[in-house]
Amino acid sequence: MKKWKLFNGISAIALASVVVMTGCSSGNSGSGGNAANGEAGEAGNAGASGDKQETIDFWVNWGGDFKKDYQKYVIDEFEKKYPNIKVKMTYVEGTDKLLTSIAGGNPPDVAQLDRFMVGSWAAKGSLEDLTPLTEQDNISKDDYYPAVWAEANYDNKTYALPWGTDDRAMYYNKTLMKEAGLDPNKPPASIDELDHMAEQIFKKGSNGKFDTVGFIPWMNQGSIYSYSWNWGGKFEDNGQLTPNDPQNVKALEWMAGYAKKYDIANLSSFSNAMGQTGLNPFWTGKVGFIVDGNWILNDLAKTKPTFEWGVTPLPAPEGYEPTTWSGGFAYVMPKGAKHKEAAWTLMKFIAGHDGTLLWAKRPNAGNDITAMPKVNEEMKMNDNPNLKVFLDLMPNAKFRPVTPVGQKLWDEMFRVQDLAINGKGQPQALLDEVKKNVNTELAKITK
Amino acid sequence: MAANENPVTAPTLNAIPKIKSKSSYKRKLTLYGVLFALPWMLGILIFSAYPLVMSIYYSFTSYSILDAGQWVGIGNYKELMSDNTFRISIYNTLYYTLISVPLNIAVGVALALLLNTKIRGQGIYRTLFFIPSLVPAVATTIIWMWLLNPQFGLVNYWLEKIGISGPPWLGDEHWAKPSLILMSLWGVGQAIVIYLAGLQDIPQDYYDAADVDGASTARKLRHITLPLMTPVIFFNLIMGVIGTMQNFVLPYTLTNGTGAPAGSLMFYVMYLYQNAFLYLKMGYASAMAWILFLIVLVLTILIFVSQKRWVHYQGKES
Repeated sequence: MKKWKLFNGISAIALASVVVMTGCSSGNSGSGGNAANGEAGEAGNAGASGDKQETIDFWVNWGGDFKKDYQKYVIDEFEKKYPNIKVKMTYVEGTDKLLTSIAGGNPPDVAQLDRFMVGSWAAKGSLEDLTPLTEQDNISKDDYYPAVWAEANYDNKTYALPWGTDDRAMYYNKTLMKEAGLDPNKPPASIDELDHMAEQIFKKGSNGKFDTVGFIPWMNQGSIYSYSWNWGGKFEDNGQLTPNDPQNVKALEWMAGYAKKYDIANLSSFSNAMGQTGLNPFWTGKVGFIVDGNWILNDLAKTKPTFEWGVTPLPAPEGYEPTTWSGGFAYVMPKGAKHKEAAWTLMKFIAGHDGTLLWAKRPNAGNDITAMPKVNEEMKMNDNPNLKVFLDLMPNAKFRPVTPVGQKLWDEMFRVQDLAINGKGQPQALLDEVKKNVNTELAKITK
Repeated sequence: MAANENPVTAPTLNAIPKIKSKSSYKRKLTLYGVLFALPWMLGILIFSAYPLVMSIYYSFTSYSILDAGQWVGIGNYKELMSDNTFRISIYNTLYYTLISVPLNIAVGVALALLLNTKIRGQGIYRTLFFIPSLVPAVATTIIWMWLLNPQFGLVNYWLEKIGISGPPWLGDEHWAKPSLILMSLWGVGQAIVIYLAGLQDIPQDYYDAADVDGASTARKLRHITLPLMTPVIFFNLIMGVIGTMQNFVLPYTLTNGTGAPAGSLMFYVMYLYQNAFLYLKMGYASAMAWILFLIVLVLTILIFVSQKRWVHYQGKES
């Protein structure tokens, strides 16, 4: 009798707790939704009255030192200036989580996003249109470099505020040039000169593998993108994507030529070996010429190269001007952000003059350049002769086409570049295939 | 505790309306059973069954995670058939599976047999072979990238010592997949444990009988050990095929998701991931997932059908 009761009692308790638990969880999600809605309403009010405490969610792409420094030099200053806004900075790796949070209707208020992705995300309607806000606050393209601003806009609307940028140039090893009997103070000024000089520097060891290489076109930042632009090629023309522009084909043919002339297996051996050292191949002193970004100047303090080197714009073929291309990050307001007004206040601070300058002034800023020419001037970045090469190229820098299929185009270009240098297919046919593939994608999206 | 004792006590309690109460009691028990299992049932329904069913639906749409997309019928499947990268990824994945799984089984069984010999320090050897499988996949990748480094790597260093000029391994399209298969052998420890367990299961009687007949070690291996190991090999074969078909971490970390050189390391699930999260083509990726499921299903069925011919269970006529 007692046992039966005990059992009944226990199961009743268990049953009750199950009911309570399920009730609770469903109640939670329900009230969670309500609370969120309530908060949004309150946020609107608070923004208007400006005296209520608000916390905004802010996602960044890097943790560790970046997050600590950014909090210290920029966000703390922001919170001092706007005491009613608290910023909750979270390190979120990759874009998967941002993607699902937007889809789930619970995104952060502000997020850091690779600027190159702004176009495709905007095309999917997942970013808030910032055009009215930028107009209201007089934020315009004149504040930023043209390439940088262009990447933050899609379909004549502004979807992001640019933050941080970089561009590419050619580093050359003077010591290796000297050893090869070249004048170390005359870096190649054209592709022909580059080909010729590089040839003198390639040197094989006793085992038949390269000890030093003159130039590997696809090493580091050297890519079909860099050379296509240098050959006067285009990726976009009259709203059409043109990966198979005749000049792009020529650039790819030139790259594949290196693979053939110096044997791709041997070159891969060298570049893979170098790639794994964790050290930039150029700083090992075994590479004559390399295309790379301004950021590798930051390695100088650590690597202290024992050879002489210089940096110069990436040479172009006869008849063309040297170019570069730039990328970087941006701040976006994901669709469905709950504290829009406070989020915008944060965005225009951190991506605007104040925040950009504060960040540029950090003690370990190194050789990073900002997206705002004015800040770069104020910081006297031009006084650094190496950095000047990069800064001088910025006003005319190219940028990857802002299109819903930007990522696809990028991956496709690298895929066929890899195929071309491995001797799998002709550049013309490969780039035609890219054109076909991205157009198929585009047709589906614009349909 | 109470629940266990209950069935004994319950009938004596309600002796009078016997039949009726018993059934209501049973019903109660069922109710409690369901109630207690409910959290897990709900979990499976909401987090497994629902997404599963939805992914079938999504595979017929242009769903992009960010927008619902439109119904495209079999458009995704049709497009996949003419997608070059898709074809390459299937080829790479099958190539990898067909070589890596049998090789893993051969090496695993061979090592298990060696580790089963009764010598001093047996435990130490077993541990040594198991340790590598505890290393996380990404760490394994990095270790192997160094071992296979074309110019400073140990493997090529040794090859050079014996007068062979080593290949660029992961840098060469023909060597990249073999390199990866070599790396996969690193994790063979898990399987060895299962093989060792299988070896312990073989009764000593068979060997004793064989000894009486004067059978050699090789014959015992061929006619006793291997046939009786087949159920375990069968299990590892199926798990191996399912696992390798979904190969992702190793090639993804190795190539940063590019599948270079020349697409030779582009695996099925890598391309699926790219489509889903980089190109925002979740519908397309869902279609890929279902095709992968069908491929794995067909392979598994083939293996199952074949087991009659080669799998021998103890105590069963064969």
